[in-house]
Amino acid sequence: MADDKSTHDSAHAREPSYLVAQKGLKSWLFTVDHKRLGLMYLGSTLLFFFIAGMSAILFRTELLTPEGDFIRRGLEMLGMLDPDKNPAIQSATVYNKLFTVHGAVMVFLVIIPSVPGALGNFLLPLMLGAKDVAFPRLNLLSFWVYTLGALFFIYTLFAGGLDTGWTFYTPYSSNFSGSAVISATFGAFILGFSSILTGLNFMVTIHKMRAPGMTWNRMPLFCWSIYATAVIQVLATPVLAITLLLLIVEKTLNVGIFDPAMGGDPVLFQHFFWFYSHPAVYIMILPGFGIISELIAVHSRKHIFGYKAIALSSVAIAIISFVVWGHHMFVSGQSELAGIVFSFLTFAVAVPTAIKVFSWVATLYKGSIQFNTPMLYGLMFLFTFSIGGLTGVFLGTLSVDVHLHDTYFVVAHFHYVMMGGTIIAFIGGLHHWWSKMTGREYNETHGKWGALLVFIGFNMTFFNQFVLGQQGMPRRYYTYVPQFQQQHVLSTVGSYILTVGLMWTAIYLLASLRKSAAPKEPIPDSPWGGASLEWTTQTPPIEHNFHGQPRVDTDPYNFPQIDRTGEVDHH
Amino acid sequence: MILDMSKAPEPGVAPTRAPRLFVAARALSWLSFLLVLVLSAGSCKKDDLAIATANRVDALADEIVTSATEGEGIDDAQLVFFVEAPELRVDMQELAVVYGSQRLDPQTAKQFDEIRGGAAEKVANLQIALQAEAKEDAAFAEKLDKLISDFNELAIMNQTPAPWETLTPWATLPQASTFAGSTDLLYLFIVGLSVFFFVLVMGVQGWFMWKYRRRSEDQKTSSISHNGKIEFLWSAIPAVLLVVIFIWGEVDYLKQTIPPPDAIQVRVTGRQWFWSVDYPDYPGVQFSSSTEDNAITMVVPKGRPVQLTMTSEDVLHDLYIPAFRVKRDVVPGRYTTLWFEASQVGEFNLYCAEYCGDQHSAMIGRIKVLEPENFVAYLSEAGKLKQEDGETPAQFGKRIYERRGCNACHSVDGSPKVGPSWKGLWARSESTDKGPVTVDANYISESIYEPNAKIVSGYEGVKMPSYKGQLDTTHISALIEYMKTLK
Repeated sequence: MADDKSTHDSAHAREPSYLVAQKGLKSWLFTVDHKRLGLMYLGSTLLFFFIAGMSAILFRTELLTPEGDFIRRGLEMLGMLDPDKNPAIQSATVYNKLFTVHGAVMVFLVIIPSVPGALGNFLLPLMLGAKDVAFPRLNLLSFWVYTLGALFFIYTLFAGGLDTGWTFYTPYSSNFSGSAVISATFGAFILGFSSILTGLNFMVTIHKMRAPGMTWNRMPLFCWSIYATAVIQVLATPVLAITLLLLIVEKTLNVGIFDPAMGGDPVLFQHFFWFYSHPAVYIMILPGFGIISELIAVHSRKHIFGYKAIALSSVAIAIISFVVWGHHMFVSGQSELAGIVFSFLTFAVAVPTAIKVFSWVATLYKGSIQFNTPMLYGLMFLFTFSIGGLTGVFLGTLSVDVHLHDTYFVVAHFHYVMMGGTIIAFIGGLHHWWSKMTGREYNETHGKWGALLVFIGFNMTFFNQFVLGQQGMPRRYYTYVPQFQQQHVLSTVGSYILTVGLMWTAIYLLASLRKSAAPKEPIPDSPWGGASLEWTTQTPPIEHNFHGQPRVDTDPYNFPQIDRTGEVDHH
Repeated sequence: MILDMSKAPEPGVAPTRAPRLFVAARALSWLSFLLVLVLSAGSCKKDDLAIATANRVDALADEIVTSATEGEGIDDAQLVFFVEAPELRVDMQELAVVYGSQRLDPQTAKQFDEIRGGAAEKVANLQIALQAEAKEDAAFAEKLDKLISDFNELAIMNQTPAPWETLTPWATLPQASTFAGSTDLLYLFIVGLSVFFFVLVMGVQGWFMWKYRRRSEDQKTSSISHNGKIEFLWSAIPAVLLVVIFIWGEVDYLKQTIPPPDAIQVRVTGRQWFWSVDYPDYPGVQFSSSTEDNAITMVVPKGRPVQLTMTSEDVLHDLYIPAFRVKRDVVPGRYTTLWFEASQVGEFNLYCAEYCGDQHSAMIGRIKVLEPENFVAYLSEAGKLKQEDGETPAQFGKRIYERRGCNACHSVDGSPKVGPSWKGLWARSESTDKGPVTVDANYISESIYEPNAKIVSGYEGVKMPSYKGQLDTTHISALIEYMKTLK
């Protein structure tokens, strides 16, 4: 067993934490401290999570009935209906804008920056035993570029909204939509730069800033997943930037690129778009994988099972993710041969993903499992993400996808992956590192109730959408055939429960930040008994993370409870 | 095996929540088992009950008619209904569910419809038989109306499936093409595998959660960190299964992409927000969907391959027929093709599955499948847009307005839609981007053939497609006659 007492910071007297080391608004807005930037990302992603979630609640309420009525009545009450235009069309437009806001904000402003921006920023240097990321000023720039992109999105909301769906498909977006396409695409274009800069920063940090003794195979798996994510961010995001720029050029200068009326090709746009956006799916989920590896190992006090398999499968997923974009286009009119090749490659992604799930479950074997809030989210992830992964097999299968494509089955699938995967992992991670980040403790009982509500609400909302899709309910529908009503009602009620669960979670987490909730005794450095470096420093950490340069002589899952008696040394 | 009682919590250690979680998981599995039981019970054949119940409804109809016309009059008839109806209603409700999910034998369903339809008609005929009395006595007329509508509600009970019916996959989606069977089989194969692996993984997880829950703070854990053999197995087994699924899906998909040479050719054009369908081999035949109602949009024969050649006039659309399990994007500037062979006579929904703007969800039509011998006759009857005997030009114009999708964008009641309303349009002065015009025959004809030549102020952003080659001069003159009537 490794004795890392020598590097243990608790030997030092308590120092002011990074939260209070400097004071004043300026010390936050222009900070180059990765931890403060992490908190600022956290605040902004949670704010946008709230906005995008509320728009989902509005359109889920609309879907309680097959007719278009809720939005229409709402607009009437607010006096926002233009009497000279057809009320049905006006309210349909509002519905379309709501689901576009939900999708675009969730993808570009919440899921992509959430884990890398908030938890990645906060944890990566701490886990690596570094003082900060490699380029702290670049990190600050990333945040402000993100803010600028976000402002463009907010401007879009006030400039009449966006109704193209988050995918911006041409020629609807370039030539037919009357909404604020340019400001939204420009916002996404700018956000891309934030993503690229963060990715670059993290890659260099992982290559150059690891503590002495921390070999690649002694890195926490969270760092591996952040590394794989960063590679995709740096390589794929420029393609999105170019695509969106071309779209803006087409729209403003009337140069035919994607619009067939001007000699362009709309399918080309889809190729460009998914060449980024499929890898982006892994930008969204890989960091979640990293969190789950930490949660499962720490809360069962077991060495993670198959460390190398999990680490390398992240890299494998990152590589394969670049060559599967065509599975979004099986029915788009791309060639049949392309469809077959993309289908095959898609199945190739399923294997490393399955390996991860099996390894996490195997980690529980002969562990010492504690059912606290972060672990409940970890275990919940295994449930929901398994469903998300398995239903991906249906959509990768050519003939079955023809039927399920663009139906609620797809909606359910990607919510099980994005929400049931990334967001659940994110919330779990937030609880896991909450005390480290804030120096506060939330109420454990409240946390468990929140997890239960989220679990019930989430599954109730999305599980029956698989059935809806299989029965032929297309997505992005404002009105629908009455036959589907009961399932839509079930989904909507589920989404209310989910909202209550998430609000409840937000409330008890915020309540723990009140002055009166400050713990009387300082929280221990490692409340869960974690063994990676972020648990060796003070809670919350001091401004420079560690008092001296930490050294590493073992891997991060070497818990003192592991029984080494009778172990045969085969190295 | 699962409950390891020998390792009960040590005294003094607070019990963890694991056991409760485990109990919850068990309760859940029992619940799903019960659900399966209910589902299988609900799916028993109800053919005999259907005929018997329909006959009882018919008998009730006779009794009501007799009491109303010969006996003590309307009050007595009402009494008869109130006494008999509740019991019948229970059975009819049960049957409505079975009927709604198409689980009655088709022959039985037909007989069931005939008997109960006849019964409803008998009662409805009272309206005529008792005409004289109803005219004199308003209260009597009201009672009679109520009786007839109550009876009608009982006999023609709505056929919405019960909640658990819609939750059962396959309960309401017919397999109406030759592709449907094999797509569904593969779907069910993947469902089976997924359920197996999911239950396996979650079962193992649940077992570990129970067995290795933290009983004490210093509980020792195993030093196992990897196992090459098991890691190889859990990579290789899914890989092999995935290859099987891939090949199966690929073979089925290839079948869907190669249309037989003798397929009936159909042309489909997608526009915001309607479909128009025509048949190169049957000139003049054309169908359109409408955002207002579920109009017949396509007619195909059963048992014959049909090939669709599709394109769009504006944005991306996607033709989706769930009952056939087919779907294909409809792309502007390109032709995409799709083929199928319908295997069941009936009418099925046809959707747009690619988001295309405001009225995306109203871009719905119906596809009608006919016996091959009725196909040609139907096409020449229903498809052709020709002025019929006894039809005035204005009536014909109204038919064109409805059938050629004009109604998707132009209203006739003055309410605004995507384009200007036709109400009061004729002979009006309009300001356009090329200066003021008076709406006359020339302007209308120009606007139909070259819609963007002169655009009415306020509609600059709207791009109406040209109807050149789709509407001839007789159609246009009929439309003009129709417009003249819309004052």
